[in-house]
This record gives sequence, C-alpha cells and structure tokens, in this order.
Amino acid sequence: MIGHFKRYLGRYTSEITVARAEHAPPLEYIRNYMKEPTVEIINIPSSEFEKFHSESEGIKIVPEFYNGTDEKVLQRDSGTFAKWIHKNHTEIEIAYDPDVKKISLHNNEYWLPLVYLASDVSAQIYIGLVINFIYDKLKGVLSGEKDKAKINFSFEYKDGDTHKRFDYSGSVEGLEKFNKIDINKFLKN
Amino acid sequence: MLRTKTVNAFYQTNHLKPIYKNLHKIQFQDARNNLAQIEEKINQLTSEDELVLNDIYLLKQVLSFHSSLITMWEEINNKKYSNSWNYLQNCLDSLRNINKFSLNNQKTDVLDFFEKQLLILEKLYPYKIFASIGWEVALYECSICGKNIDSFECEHEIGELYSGEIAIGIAKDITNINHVSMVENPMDKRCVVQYEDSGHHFKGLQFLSGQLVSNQLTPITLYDADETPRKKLNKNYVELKRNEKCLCGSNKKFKKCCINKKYIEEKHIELIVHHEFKLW
Repeated sequence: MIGHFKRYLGRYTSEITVARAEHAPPLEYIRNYMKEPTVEIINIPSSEFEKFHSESEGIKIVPEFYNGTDEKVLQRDSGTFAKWIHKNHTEIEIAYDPDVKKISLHNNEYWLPLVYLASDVSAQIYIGLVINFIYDKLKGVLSGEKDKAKINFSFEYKDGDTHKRFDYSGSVEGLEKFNKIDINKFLKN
Repeated sequence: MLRTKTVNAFYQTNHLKPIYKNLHKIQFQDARNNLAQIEEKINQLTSEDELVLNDIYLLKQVLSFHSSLITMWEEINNKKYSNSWNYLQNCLDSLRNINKFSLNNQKTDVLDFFEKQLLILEKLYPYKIFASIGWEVALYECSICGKNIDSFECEHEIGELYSGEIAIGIAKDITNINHVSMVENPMDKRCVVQYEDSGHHFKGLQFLSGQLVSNQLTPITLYDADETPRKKLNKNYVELKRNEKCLCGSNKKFKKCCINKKYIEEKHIELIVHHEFKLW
C-alpha cells in the first residue's frame, strides 16, 4: 500500500519513444515483460538522497554524469517536465536547478531525469505524473504512432537494509495498469 | 478543427478543392497557384485575440502542409525521390502540429485521408536508420520571451502555441558534441544517407512514379496499402537429392539444411487505388 511505502530511493530514468520505426516490440513480449519485471539489488543510496528524503518534501531533479561528461548534467526534457509539474500539480514541491547544463540526444523521445522522491510522494503518485505527462505530449502524434509509444522506467528503492531496482519496458497503458497493483508488495517479494 | 468563428468562416469559404482537382490532374503549378491565392488572403488576416491568432497559425499550417504535399508529389513525378523525402517529412510535421493544436485534437476528414496516405508513402522509402547528435548545452533561450526556457520564470512551454507562435528553446551555448549515434526514432528524419534516385533503394518510389506517369494512380487516388508479405521463387535454390551435401557450405545434408528454401518470403506492399473517394 502507498502508506507503507515509507523509505525508498526513487531513481527514475524514464523516457517515451514515439516509435516511428517498424520494430516495436510484439505485444506478447510486452505482456510477458509486464508479468515478470526485472528486480535487482542496487547500491547503497547516497547521503545526498538520505538528506533530501529526511528533510524535504516533493521531488528533486538530480543531475548525473552521462557518457563522459566533465560535470553532472540534466537530460534535455528535465525543464519541460519540471515546468509541467509546477504548472499542473502545484501541490507537489519540485526542487530543480534550471541553470545546470543539459544533454540533448536529439531523438524522438522524452528523456526524463533521475529524481529523488521524498516520503510524501509515493511511487504510484510519481508514475501517475509520468503517465499524465506522456499522454499530454502524445497529443500531436499521427495515427498509429500512439500505439507504438513505449516507456522505459527504472525505479530503485530502499526498504530497511534492502535495496532493489524495478525496471519496466512496454506500453504506456501497460504501465498504467501496473501502477494500479501493489508495487510495494511486488518489490518485497 | 478551428476554435474561432472568424477564422472558421474564412476556412469554409476558401475551399481547397481546386488544389485537389489540380493534383488529381497532375498539374502541380496550377495547384500551387490555387494555394498562393488563399495564402495571400490569410496573410491579410490580423487580430490581437490569442485564440484567433492561434487559429491563423493553424490555417498557415494547413497551407504549409498543402505546399509541401504539392512539391512532394511533383518531386516524385520528376523522379527526384531523395528530395521528395524532405517534403514528405514537412507534411508529416505540419500534420502533427495540426493534430496537436486543433480543437479536440481532431482535423478534417481530408487531412485524415492524406495522413494515412503519407504514412503509406513513408514505408516506400529506404530510410530506416538516422543520425542523431548528442550535445551539451549551457542554455536554451525561449524564442518568445528570451528567458531561460527551462526556468520557472519563463512562462512558456516548449512546443506550445502562444498567440500564433510556438515556443522554441534556442540552444545558445553548445559546449560539447557528446556523441553521434544511429537511431530508429530521430527528432528529425531528414538526417539520412543520400542515395542515387536511379538506384535500387528507391524501387518502390520508381514503381509509384511509373504508375503516376501512366495514370494508374494520382495523388488523390492513392488510398491504402496491403502489406502482406509474399513468397517468391529463390533464384539461388538448387534442387539436390535429400542426402547430398548442401551447396550452401554448411556441410550438412540437403534435407537438414536448405531443402525448404525453394521459396523465400519478401516484403510486399500493394498500393490500393480508390477512385470513389470524393474530395470535391
């Protein structure tokens, strides 16, 4: 349940792909993948996360090193996503530095940043935000492209001394359905 | 599609039908003249109302779509397939904007018809992999207010429409090119390898062009496509005795190797011409 989901490290590198190519994964693959998402043990969370988690509220967008960059950078769509939350979900605090250098991949994807979640924002709430954001950005796509939209989603969490990672790759609708089940119970198992 | 009465009335009285008629007759210059007449009138439309300005933008996108559509078909007709790809992408980009900013995200039936047609055409081109650059940028400036478009101080969202103008983030300081990669889903599909128009890569377009010239189809009658793969005789197939060594070099017996490769499956797109669809 959401209320039990008290301590975790939220790590999201989410992206949607409006797949124009003909090689979208078969539905059967997505279904199978949904049934058995990957869960693996991860590293111990940083002190930065611990500090944010215990002292702050809402969401923090966190820069990362990427492919040999000299400094930590943010994904290109970080600003768009942060402003979208700021405008459409004023109840959620969002910590974000707009002056951090951006890395832009110039492909047809929304590439969202690593975020830390404080205890007042559950995984379900965050996944809901991502899904709404995606649907909002899919408004202009051409017929057929919406069906091929694909989302990759990674989530790391800490429960006591256990750290786990959950990876999802599949349709937006799939993630929407997955979000309705008890992700807490799933990860504990 | 449109939100305001003023612009909607203009759209209803300035028909695009002459353009379709001329496209049907493969008279591209006449179609372009039709378009120029409407464009002249649109350029005279002015307003200070945000909704009206957004509708005028939408009308300009409709015109821009038709302009690219005419040129695309003209280039195909002139066997300039490589050039026609860019105009096809212009068309699709215009349609995306029309979809996004139309009332209830719904456009007219005619534009739906062309959307379907263009997505079929896109499959006839050889471009499947595209170049994509990853770069580091210190600042993206808002094309409307000039502020950092990623900051909360800038009230514009990238790709949204404000009084007839789309907010764009202008990369002001590209500090490093991080990498160049090959992707299937680029932001811009125009970054492609150039092929000779007469080469085998454009086999599908060459067929289409032949059909246009011989009046088998027109830009208005290309309606649908059947994409069922078909079997064809394998030219390299050699019939051997079952226990003979296979000729492919696998060192296996023929019966355990290529015996079933007499026919091979190939990608096949059958274009469907529909004469009854009425655009006028």
